[in-house]
Amino acid sequence: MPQVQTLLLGLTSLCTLYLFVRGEDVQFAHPWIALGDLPLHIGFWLNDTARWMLLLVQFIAFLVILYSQAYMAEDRDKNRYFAYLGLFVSAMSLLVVANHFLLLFLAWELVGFSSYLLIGFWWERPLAAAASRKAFLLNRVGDIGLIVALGILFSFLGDIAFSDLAEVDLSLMPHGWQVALGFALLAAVAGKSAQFPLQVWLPDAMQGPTPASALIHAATMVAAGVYLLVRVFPLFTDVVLDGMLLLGTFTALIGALSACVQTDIKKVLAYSTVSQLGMMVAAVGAGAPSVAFLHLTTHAFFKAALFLAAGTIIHGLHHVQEYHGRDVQDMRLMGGLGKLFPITRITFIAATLSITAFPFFSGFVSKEYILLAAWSGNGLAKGAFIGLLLTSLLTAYYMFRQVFMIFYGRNRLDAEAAEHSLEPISMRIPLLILGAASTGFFFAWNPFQWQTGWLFGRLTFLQTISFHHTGVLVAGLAATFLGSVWAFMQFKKSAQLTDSEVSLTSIQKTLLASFYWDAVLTGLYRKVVLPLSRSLYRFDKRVIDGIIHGLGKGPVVIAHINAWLDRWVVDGILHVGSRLIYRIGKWVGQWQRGTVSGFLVAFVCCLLMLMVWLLF
Amino acid sequence: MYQSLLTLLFLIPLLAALIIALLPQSLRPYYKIITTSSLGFSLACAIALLWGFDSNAIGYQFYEKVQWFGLSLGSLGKVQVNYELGVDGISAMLVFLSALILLIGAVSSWEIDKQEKGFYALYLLLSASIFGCFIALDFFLFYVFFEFMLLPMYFLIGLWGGPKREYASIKFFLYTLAGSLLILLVMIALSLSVIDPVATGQEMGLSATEAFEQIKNTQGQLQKYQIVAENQVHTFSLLWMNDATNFVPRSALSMVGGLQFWGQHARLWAFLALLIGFAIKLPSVPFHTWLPDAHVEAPTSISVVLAGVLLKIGAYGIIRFAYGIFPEGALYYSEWIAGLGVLSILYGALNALAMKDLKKMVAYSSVSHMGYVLLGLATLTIEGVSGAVYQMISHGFISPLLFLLVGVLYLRTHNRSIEDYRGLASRMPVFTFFVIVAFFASSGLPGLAGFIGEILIYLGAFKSAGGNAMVPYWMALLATLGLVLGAAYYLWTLQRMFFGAFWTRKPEWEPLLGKLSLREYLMFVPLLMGILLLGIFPSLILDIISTSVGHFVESTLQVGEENLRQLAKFIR
Repeated sequence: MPQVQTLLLGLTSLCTLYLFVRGEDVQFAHPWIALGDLPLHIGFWLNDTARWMLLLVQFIAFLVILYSQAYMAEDRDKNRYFAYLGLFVSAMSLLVVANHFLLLFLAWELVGFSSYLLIGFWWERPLAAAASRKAFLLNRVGDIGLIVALGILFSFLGDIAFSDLAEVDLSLMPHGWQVALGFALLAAVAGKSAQFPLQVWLPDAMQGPTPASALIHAATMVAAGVYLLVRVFPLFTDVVLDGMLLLGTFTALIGALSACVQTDIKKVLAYSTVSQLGMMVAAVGAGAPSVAFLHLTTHAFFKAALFLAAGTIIHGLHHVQEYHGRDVQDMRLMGGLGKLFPITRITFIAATLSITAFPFFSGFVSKEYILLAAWSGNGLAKGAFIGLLLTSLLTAYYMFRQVFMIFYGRNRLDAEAAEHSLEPISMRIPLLILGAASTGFFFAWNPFQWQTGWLFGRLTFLQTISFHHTGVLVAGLAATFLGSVWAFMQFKKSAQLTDSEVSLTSIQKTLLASFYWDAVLTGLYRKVVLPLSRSLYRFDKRVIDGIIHGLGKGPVVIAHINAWLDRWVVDGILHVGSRLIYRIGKWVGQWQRGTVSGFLVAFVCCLLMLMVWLLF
Repeated sequence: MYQSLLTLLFLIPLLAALIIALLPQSLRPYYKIITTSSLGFSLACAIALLWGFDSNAIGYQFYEKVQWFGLSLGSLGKVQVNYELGVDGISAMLVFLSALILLIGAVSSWEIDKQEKGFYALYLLLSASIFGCFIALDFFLFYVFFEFMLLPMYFLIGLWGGPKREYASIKFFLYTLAGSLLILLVMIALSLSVIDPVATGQEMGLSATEAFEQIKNTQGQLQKYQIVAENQVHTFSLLWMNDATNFVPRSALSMVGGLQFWGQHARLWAFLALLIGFAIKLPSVPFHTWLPDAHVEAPTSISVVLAGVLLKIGAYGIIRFAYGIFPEGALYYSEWIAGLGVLSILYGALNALAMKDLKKMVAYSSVSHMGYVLLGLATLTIEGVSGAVYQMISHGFISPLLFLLVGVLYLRTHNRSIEDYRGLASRMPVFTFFVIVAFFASSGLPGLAGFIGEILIYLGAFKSAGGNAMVPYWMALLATLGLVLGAAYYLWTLQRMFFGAFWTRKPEWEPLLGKLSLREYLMFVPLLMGILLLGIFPSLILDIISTSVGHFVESTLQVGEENLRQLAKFIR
């Protein structure tokens, strides 16, 4: 069945490709929840961004499902896996085309649910089960934001469509509520796109199968938050945009810093995703949603490439003798794997050059635009520029560190390849395609002037981008260069070290735990929410039930008093009375000894008296 | 055929109960068949009811009215009690829900293996009185049915329940009795205050028509003190109680010169009494502690009926009686009602998080979900009230499934402790599938039934905060926390009980945890289908209830405001 699914998904991607090429806006609405005269609608709005996003989702999903054929081949539950992926693709497509908040919320929750299912796919592992719960709950925290936003919009503007947002008169809303609305939406984005303070679920989500991580937790679902920001951009006021800029930059920095010391091959990429998403959010905050959307596009390709390449390594190392019983995701055990994974290496390096913004690669264009957007903004944006530049430097460092640790130097375990190739053909094809899509040439023949390329031609939304500043360009290049050189020096220095765990400084420990924010949130749950719930239950048992029992006892006490009164007062009177009557009876009874003659005498006397009374 | 459909609906289980009571013990195997088939017949009646229901008409349909008994009060006139039945969209939907859940509960009852005669007779008696509650339009008749539910329920928990069944059944009985007492007080006061203008007109020598002019005329005379007490025919009929002009002036609950206690008009006190009386049944925090105990001790089928149907009578009572008769109270106390709702949502969810017993957790989740109903009603918006009714129906599908699923485990091992199981998914994959769907449906996942009600209630709350100001914004915001808390306890339970490596507290349980039986599938699949259908096609329910809800909201707001203005005039 997975083959059929691949075929079907291939067909739907062709359909979306057709939609994209045709380039026609489609929009319709249908009443879904009928409430008298004002039904709540669900509708689609297929504008240029939605068309492109839809194609992106379907195309990468197609590649990932193709790739998964080999990756999951030996899993006994693979049908379940493909079913979950199918659910995800449908929900995500729905999210992309939704034109109403209600439908968006529905799809938003459903992608969260499929993400929950996929993170916890190997539910026998306690870590996977815990990670899936954490992901869903933190997403739900963000969803509160979306519900609040939905509620505020509904109470002021009614059931409103995204396509009408540009013309909507925001002055109908008090300014305070506009700000509240903006921050509520930002909270939703923080949940789905793993921004501070809810970002901790994304690194944990790596417990899921790696192809699923590539699709959901790197390329598409986590980008849904950024996509939402692009879709509802007209709703944001300046205050909210400033907050967004700060939040994005901050998240980008802490993500990049955490990625620098990770040793798990997927954790590096996960923190990198957090950081890159932070950059996109910052770009929207700087007032350039089109730039954010461009970075979302390039990121989807190169991050999917990175994850799938990592997946090939993880999958392949399971077949290598020397890695049996070891953690195949630990980069400290890797090194010199380029020989075993040639295609993977090419793809990984191409994607790395892209994410670190080397010229000729796609990330170069989109990241420079983000830096430019920040530089051309207000004072706050100029401050954020510094942070984003630093992130750029760190990105180059941790990505090249990873490349060197995996593919170069001596193989720490002296691993020999297994009999068969470690890169099945169904893995190689998606890798090569995604690797190619990470280059600048994929988007335009001139990798520096995308304005003339096919993407910009089709996506009118992107044509608003027009930034030029040579200084910023040089600064960005310098940051990338410095970061990669730093990683190279580090690699040279520690090439002799077999075990890098020997001495972690406290700074490294802090970074490894990503500033202990996860511990803070877990502590909040364990130390505040759970004790609160237990004490509320005690309150239920002791106070409320106590009152009820007290109320119940009251009548019992009264009843006992009553019983006492009954026994000694009422019965007492009765006893006294009955005794009296008994005595009287006894006394009267003396006259009735049962002698017939006595009765007769009495009878005759009575009769006589009656006659006398009646006659006279 | 439709003329006496409602009578048929509650008479069938009643007759079946009688038959079972009269059958000899030798025919014991047939008890369950009689029960199930008679309830199946009731379900058919309920479907016919929905089929023949005109969803565009305002007012009660399938109306039946027969004079039951009258009581002369001497110089105070007389009291007339009627056998008066009818349904609007809301009660028609609830009747259908009850019929379905009672049937599934009957199938679930097949597990009962002691004193079947008593069990099934009482179960049918309970069914009849539940139907009666939803279709009665005479307060007296309703009260008879309402009280009559108590008796079978008391014995069903007290005789067939778990180890602490006596405590639970007494607690249930006393709690509900306390609520009934409040309702009884209001009912008596109402019957002394309200007259039937048609019957009164007849008493005065007018013709017995229901002509509008004559009714208006009689009401006008009443308000001008022109009708002497001997001629007044007091009534329990809901249809007359809704109209303030049918209240005898200067009687206990009349607008004009009604009683006052502690500076508050008696009508507002009466509203509160009804509200609390029904809130106990709902149950709302802080009147809820009977529910966890009753659920934990009750046999599975009784839990199913209790959560699926009985709780809705509380909500229905609030809609029909508290809000219907005293709309000004709904406006006056809206913030308090919404506050109780929000408190129940959060308090119930937090308590559920602390539970170690699976069934108790589900019970507390019911408290939380009924809180949504209160919040939705308090908003007095189309969205909020529709959401509240939707939540009642969807909870009526989801919570029975949850209790049945708990019952699966309990039937096999006689243990429900969350901490005593791990990794159940590996041994019971189909069971786990049902559990995941039920848990997520309960926590409001879109595409499943729970979502529609919750989202409508949230929308209603926000709309009310920005519009008619029944619910303040901060309560709407606070209520959204229920979104996270409502998911937290389910996910945590899934993680602890169903995921991870398989393990049970006692090794001998392992072989018991096998496949689901056909009977279990027969109960789960219809509920599951219902949950899916209601999640995707909300119009299935909304089409039936929308006219009634719209009328309810409009008249409550309009009459309530008018009444409040009058009350303010008469109190200082």
